[in-house]
Amino acid sequence: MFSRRLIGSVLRPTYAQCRRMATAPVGALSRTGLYDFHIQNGAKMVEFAGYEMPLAYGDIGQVASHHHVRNSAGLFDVGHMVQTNFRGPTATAFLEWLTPSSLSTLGAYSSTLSVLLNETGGIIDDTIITKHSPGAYYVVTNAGRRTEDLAWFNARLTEWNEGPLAKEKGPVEMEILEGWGLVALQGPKAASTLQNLTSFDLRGLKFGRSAYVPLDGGSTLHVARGGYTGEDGFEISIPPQQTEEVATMLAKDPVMLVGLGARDSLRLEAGMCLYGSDLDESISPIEGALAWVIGKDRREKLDFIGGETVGKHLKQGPPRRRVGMIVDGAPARHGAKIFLPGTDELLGEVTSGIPSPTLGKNIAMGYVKNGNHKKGTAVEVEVRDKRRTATLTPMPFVPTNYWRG
Amino acid sequence: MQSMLRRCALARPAASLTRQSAPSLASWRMQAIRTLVTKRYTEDHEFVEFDDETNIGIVGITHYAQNSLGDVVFVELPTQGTEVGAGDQIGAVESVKAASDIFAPVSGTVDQVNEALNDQPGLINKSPDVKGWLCKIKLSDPTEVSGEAADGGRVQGQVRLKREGVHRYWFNTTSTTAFVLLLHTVPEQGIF
Repeated sequence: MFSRRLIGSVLRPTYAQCRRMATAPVGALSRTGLYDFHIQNGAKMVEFAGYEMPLAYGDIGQVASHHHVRNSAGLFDVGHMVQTNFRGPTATAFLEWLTPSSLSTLGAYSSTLSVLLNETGGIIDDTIITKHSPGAYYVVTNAGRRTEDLAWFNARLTEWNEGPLAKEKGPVEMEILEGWGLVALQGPKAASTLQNLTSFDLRGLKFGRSAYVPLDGGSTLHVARGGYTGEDGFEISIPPQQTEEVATMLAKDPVMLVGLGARDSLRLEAGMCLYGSDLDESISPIEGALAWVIGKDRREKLDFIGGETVGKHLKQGPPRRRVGMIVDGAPARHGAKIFLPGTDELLGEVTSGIPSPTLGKNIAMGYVKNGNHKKGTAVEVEVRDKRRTATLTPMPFVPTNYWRG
Repeated sequence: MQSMLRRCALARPAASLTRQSAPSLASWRMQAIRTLVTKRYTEDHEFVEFDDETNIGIVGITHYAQNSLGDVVFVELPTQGTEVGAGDQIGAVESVKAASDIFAPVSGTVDQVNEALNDQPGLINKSPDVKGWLCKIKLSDPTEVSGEAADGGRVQGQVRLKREGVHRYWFNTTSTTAFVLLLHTVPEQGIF
């Protein structure tokens, strides 16, 4: 007991860690602006991506929190994520060099999931890019990739600003929103909750769009409709000094505070990736089943970093593909091996897996060799030295519930 | 804890009477401070509640373990009749967030498994040490629990039975009234 295998390679609090955290503050870990708020609300804090983050609150179990978000509304602190503004006359071209997204055709105040690719087409990070204008973008990246992302941004920015286009039309500036708050209000009751706090008609704010929304109390905040649960919801960016006040305002009945535990089970049911578990620098967006983030108008020229590999994988098929599966018997977790049934032929590995609270089935995502990736394919997954049958299943596992107007 | 003592007392009248009739001083001393139920904990937050009458150890996870794990939604139990060695992985207890392997705390044969957990894995949260027990192992070597080696914290396979947190109930069989002494009633912090 308790050689624990936790979901994800990043979220691995151990008993020892939990115990240590219960007694003494952990050195060298960062805190979001909501740290005191979490403690006051009885959070069990754990280390995550270099931050002390709430795993759960009080006596409310992960399953109860999970269902509450699916049925009502939950508030997540995602202030550990890195919020960055890119501004300048050549911002669109710069970000189109760093990502395969069609940003030039993206509308103002629209967001898209994207990926930062390395020279060989591997994913440095996944990110949400929001376009405010051709010269202004708001980018959110993962806390766990902060060091790598910022080093990458800085190096490429220097290179860009010394290049001909920037010299001719103007440079790009990068501003990291240090200390800013970011909260996610998620669930079918998220919209009615937020609507109670603003005169802004949220019905007009559809999934994937964002706006500056004036809230009761006087502040006008950047609100993006979307999230990491598959439910309708909002991600709200808040200046440092107002973060706690806004969180307190939002965390009222029926909204429940939700920690990292339920965040992970919700995102997995929604078929979304956790960087570090499901994506890494060796995986191309085609392998990661993220071909849809590659803009239609960018597939010919492939004029972005890593474009060569992406083009090859698009044309010839990738060596492996991310798939969803439902596993019989025991839940399969990160690292479980996937086999061709009745043989020792290794097809790949599970990268995330849980017993789904919504479905009551064991869901997982992982990578299999190309050609074995079709839905309905029967595979075997090894859990505790025993083969378990599994069936490849399309994702999301739980249908999304976005507001599309 | 009181209920456990009562249960022990009630379960043993026949044994007590039989032993009481043994005459020699040496055996009298053996009976007078005879261990009834020894509950030991492993460093992996499992317990084994050993009954030296039947040689059966009831295996479960501690309250602390269930609390750290959260809502248990799946339990994999060993097969009845399986021979296990101390430290062998015999199953798993899983919440949504984590899977925790169960290691046999003692060597022997799996005598019974708690089938109720298949339908109600949450029993482990509600009642980890009574209704949420995992399996019963008939010990091949009872000294793994009751012997001096166990007291000394001998490493058995991967499992080390802890002296700290051991509940041991001593039963004075020379008296018609059960006389109970509790030793080590203060468990090590972290076990509970």
